Amino acid sequence: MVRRYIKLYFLLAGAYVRSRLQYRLSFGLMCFGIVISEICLLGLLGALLAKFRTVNGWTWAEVVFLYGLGNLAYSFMRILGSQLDDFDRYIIRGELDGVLIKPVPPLFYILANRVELIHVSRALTSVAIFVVAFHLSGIRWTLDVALFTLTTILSGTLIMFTLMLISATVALWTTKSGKLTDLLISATKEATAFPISIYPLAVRLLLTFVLPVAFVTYYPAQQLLQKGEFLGMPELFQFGAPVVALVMLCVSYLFWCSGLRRYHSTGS
Amino acid sequence: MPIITVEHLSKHFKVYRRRTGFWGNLSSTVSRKHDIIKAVDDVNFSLERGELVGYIGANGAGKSTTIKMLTGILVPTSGHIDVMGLTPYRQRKENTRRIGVVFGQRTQLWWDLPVIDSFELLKHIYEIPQNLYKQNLEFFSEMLQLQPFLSTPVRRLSLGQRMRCDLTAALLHNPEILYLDEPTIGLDVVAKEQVRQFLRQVNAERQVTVILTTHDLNDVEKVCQRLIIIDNGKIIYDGGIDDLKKRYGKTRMLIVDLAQAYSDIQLEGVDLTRRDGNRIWLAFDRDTISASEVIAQLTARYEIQDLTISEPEIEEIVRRIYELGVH
Ligand SMILES: Nc1ncnc2c1ncn2[C@@H]1O[C@H](COP(=O)(O)OP(=O)(O)OP(=O)(O)O)[C@@H](O)[C@H]1O
Ligand SMILES: [Mg+2]
Repeated sequence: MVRRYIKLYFLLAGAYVRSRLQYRLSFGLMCFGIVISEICLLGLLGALLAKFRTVNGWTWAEVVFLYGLGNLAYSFMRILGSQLDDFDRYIIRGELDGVLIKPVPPLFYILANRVELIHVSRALTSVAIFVVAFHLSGIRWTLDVALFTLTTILSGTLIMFTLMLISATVALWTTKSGKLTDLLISATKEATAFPISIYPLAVRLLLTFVLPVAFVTYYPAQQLLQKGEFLGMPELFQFGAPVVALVMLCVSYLFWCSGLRRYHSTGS
Repeated sequence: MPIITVEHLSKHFKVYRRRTGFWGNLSSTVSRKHDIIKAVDDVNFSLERGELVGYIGANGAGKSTTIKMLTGILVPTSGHIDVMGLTPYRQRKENTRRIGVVFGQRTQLWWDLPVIDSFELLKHIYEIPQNLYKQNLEFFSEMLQLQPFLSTPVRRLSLGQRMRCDLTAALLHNPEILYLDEPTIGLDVVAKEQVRQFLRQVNAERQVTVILTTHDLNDVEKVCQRLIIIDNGKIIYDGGIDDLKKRYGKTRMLIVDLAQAYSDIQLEGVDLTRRDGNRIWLAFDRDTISASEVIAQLTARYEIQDLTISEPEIEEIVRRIYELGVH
């Protein structure tokens, strides 16, 4: 069962990659562009931090670590869920009809069907950045740390993915959701890059309980960097990422299912 | 045991007064100002295994909406659908394994890939055993002569070739029911004939139950045994094609070439259904007035050059039903 879906995922993703193969040059250019822009962004952040030295009591190495962690979750999420970027076209053009007559879960089919390889180049860059950031942060490398880091990355990826899924699902009511998705995704990416202690209380609560991106980087980093900065939240939150990811996964999937039942197709 | 049972099936669409943009859409969704369109309205019918049914109606009558509910794409507003013991939108996955669907307007094939790649992908999606897949592929490529373009990208196929591939794609997994929404749209006479021939054969040799919607009544006349006519979401006729002719085909058509274009033409017991220059089409009911009476009336009042009487064509009968309803 699981094997069937893994195989199907790669077959469908492969089919899309093959149909894009004819645009090899633009593919290459896009990969190049993404890598360059990632490095520039980090350079900019580095330059800013070098000037201020600390952000709210976080050293620049710690902020770079935060950025690297968030960026990693973000870039993995892009591989997993970028197909939802323009999910509204499935609705506007009634393409969801074709998905719903196939004997596979619609969400799986949509996620597998248009995987863009360029996101892999972004992910590779992010891995490199994270390795450097990890090294700079001075965290001691043990099995516990490794497991915790992996869980954190996985949970962070899922949390960001569920936000993407929720905003895409809105299209089943409004027909359009592209702009909302873009907005939400870039906002969450920004929010993971800095310690949330720089924001006012209302925003911190928002990032903890409504769009829980604080669990992507900030709270797990308390554990990894031994910061002990909880801003009045329970200390347990540093281990909360997997739970939040699971809850968000359930919530967003239920939302998606109720959206599908609302699907109206198009009048030819 | 019918293979499809539909009871009191309705689908109502809320149509919001459109505003543009995301916030416009959202606010009009929230404000709930809408009109209701009864696309399908209390429809009942059932199909036996192996039937070949034409589902026709004017534009916007509700054909596609019905098909989408039968295939599990749309959730009905109310009513029951039973397809092989399943409720399509609830048991969507099981249902899709046992049905084939072709939308004439939109291909289900991978646009940029060779045709054969789409078939291969479908093999995995439907988990078709390799030997069955090979057997079916051979069968269909022979029957529809797919061989010459199996390795051509779908986007380079002609409409007729593409339709043949779409038909194959819908049948590779041996479905028990085949739904076709306008399978002959845009095809030339030869390609249409090929599709019809194919559907008859698939129905006869593989016992596939077929429902097709169309605007070309030749499809219905040449392929289907049974005809369901939907109008404004309601079924107005359900029965054999011969029955339809018997019941509504009492009208004869008299085509007359007049010597000049008379400005107003008045005849008793006769409908003037069309006129084109000096030629007029007169419909009359053979039970109430005989052809000779009509001709007598005509010659008494107008000067005639030529006339022919035609048997009712299915096209004409259905056109009159669309226009005037059943009576
Ligand atoms: N997604 C939708 N939202 C709102 N109204 C719709 C939707 N789909 C269909 N309708 C309306 O429902 C009615 C029936 O549409 P449907 O597509 O079923 O007609 P049809 O018989 O297939 O027509 P055609 O021959 O033009 O394909 C039409 O009035 C159409 O405008
Ligand atoms: Mg239609």
